[in-house]
Amino acid sequence: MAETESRWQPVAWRRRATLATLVLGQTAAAVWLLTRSLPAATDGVIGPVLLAVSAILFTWIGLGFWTAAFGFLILRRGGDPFSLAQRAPDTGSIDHTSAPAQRVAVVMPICHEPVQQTLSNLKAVYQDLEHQGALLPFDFYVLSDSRDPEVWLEERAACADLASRLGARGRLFYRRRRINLKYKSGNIADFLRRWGSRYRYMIVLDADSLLSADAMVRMLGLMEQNPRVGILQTAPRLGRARTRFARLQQFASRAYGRMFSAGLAALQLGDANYWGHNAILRVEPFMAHCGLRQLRGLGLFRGPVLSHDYLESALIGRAGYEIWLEPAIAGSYEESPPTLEDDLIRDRRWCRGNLQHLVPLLTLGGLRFAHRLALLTGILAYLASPLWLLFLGLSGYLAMVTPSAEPALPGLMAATANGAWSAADTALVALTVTMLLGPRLLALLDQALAGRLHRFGGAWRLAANTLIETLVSLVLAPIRMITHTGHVIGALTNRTLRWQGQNRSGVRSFQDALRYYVWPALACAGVLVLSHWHHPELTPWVLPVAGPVLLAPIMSLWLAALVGERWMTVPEHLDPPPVMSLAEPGRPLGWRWPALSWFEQAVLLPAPAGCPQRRPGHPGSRKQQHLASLIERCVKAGPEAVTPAEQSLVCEHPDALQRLHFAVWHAEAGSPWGLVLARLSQTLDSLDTGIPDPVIHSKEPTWIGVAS
Amino acid sequence: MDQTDTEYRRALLYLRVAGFEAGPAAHARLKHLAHQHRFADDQPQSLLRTVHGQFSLQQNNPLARPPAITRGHIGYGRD
Repeated sequence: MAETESRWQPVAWRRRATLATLVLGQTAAAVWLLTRSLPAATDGVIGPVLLAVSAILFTWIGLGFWTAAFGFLILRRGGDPFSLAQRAPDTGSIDHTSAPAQRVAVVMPICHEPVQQTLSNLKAVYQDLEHQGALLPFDFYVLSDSRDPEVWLEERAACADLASRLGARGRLFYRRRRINLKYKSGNIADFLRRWGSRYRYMIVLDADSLLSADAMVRMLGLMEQNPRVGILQTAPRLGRARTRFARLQQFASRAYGRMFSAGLAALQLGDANYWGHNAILRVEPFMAHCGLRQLRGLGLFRGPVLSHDYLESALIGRAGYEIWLEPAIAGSYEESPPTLEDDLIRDRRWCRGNLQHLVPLLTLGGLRFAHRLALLTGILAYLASPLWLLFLGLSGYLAMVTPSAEPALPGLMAATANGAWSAADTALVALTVTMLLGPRLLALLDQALAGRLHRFGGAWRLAANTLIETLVSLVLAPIRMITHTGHVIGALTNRTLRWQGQNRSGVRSFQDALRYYVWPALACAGVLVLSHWHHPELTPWVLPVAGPVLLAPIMSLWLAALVGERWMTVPEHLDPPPVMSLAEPGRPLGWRWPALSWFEQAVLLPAPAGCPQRRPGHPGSRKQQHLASLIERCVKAGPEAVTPAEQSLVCEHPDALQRLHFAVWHAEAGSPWGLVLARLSQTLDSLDTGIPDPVIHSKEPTWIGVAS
Repeated sequence: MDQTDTEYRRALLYLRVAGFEAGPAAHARLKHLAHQHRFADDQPQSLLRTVHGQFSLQQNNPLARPPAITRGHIGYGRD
């Protein structure tokens, strides 16, 4: 088997050196221009601090700009000749003769996700593979960390129904962890410990992931051809957005994302990063090298690693394997959070996880320089917000202490003698605007040159949508800055964070929005009032930052609204890929009687005869005593008398569930369970009178044994 | 035990919950089991348990158990 050629390494270093030169050169120019523009009264410590912060921020936005520029050039050249996908021909098939050796586990770790939507995604992936005749090497695992019995019992029932409908018994499995150690990475590690040795590869999906069969076969083929590749990451596109916010994110991802992905892939080459999903991993080295220890520091830096993916790619890279980002592989999709708050909540998790990377960055030896840089940029992605705030605060302070009649930009640019901008001022503003808006213009140019305008509804629609997206981004920027600053402070002070699945439905109320933004809005209102009180001439400069935060609840509701199909057109609207069409939820998976909760149904439904049971524990054991007392309490006082955790415990022990089952079926008519049974009887009567309901059994069970 | 008897009605509901049509065949089967159950004094158990032992619900459980576990180890590198 041919090994991956390592010609890419000198190329990568050359490209990175070019990037560094461009970014540092542009930063030096910007800082020099700023020193020329700053008002005279910056001789103290404030001026140098402001310049230092500006240098970091210019470096940060320069990285984004020049990555996009690299992407533009690469795409104009017809793709990167050094990428795996360009070097290896797409045969479009898998060698089925070695199927047992190259088996692939498709794993979907979930935790309190919307069950129907999530499993519809998995169904689509499965069916697309089946339609392409490529199902043979793949096994599917739904790995649940859900704790609420109303969620995991539905997951289990839906998986059973899905396996039945797809004929996937023996290929689709449901596994739920009872002890949720180390979040998602722990869930996958638990899977690998149990079944990892059976598979050569593992494809990781998120709850909102979609991968087409072509993409999966291509990924598998590339891994087979390149044994030194440890992780192959696709660049997922955002899809299936229904709310205004998600649609804007989706448009940005589709219109500008391909350029950024191409640039990032070209700069990273074999030193890319794992993004946690929509990727294929080589199981053996991943198991051997990518275990994540608990952090042993203080506060935030103690406990499980929250953002595992970047670290895992750094660890597998340290073991000598390559990690490739391949944006050329189409058919990889994920979803945007539906609302601004959900996006910010996700950012809060990522912020904590990225800040935690400071420890491995400083303590892990042998990491590749590119991976250290990736960890550092991940940290800076969130530290940038407090730095922007510091920048604004310092310039605001300078504006207040600088005696200038009509400054060009208070605190940052002094006025010339005639009150006009100086050449340095103009150059600085032009440079900043270019850095911030240039990538969007380059992306439009790229789409036009690639002849893809019609896929966005035409040139005018693309331009108009870009303008709308840019304006909304500008309004959201201060909200993100303030909120991210809060996230950083919250993380560093180790405020507790509940780890839950994301809201993927988009439903938010005004009260929720108001509650979420109340503190940032109050802080901004305070700053606005104070600045207006002391320096009313500064109000026009404070308003663009404070105004959006004050309006955030209204803005958030506007963004959470559902929109029509044609708003912010992307190619998938005009020509949806098959895997996306297959993922449209149809008949609900799993069934539940409408009058019952999932727990009540689990208790009342007769257990299948011959169902494999866990061995009951010793009758006198503490656990069995606890279960017995739970059952007694539940029988006497009804399902509400036991907590969700206790309901889960009973459902996890089939023998205990069986005892509870028979006990409640003998409940007195007026008792809590008697009332549940009465409800159930009424439901069945209503179904018998012809009310159509998808939850009814599809076929009658069979009698065994002749009662004679 | 007749058809208005609480235990009989519970048993019929139990059959319906298990997915059987509550038609004449189920009634006949249930009456037969109830009759048997009444005289099975040597092995006292509830009618529901008797009913439960008389049908197969395999089709309600199409989810296969995961494959046999092959114990593996996660490596934590040299740090």
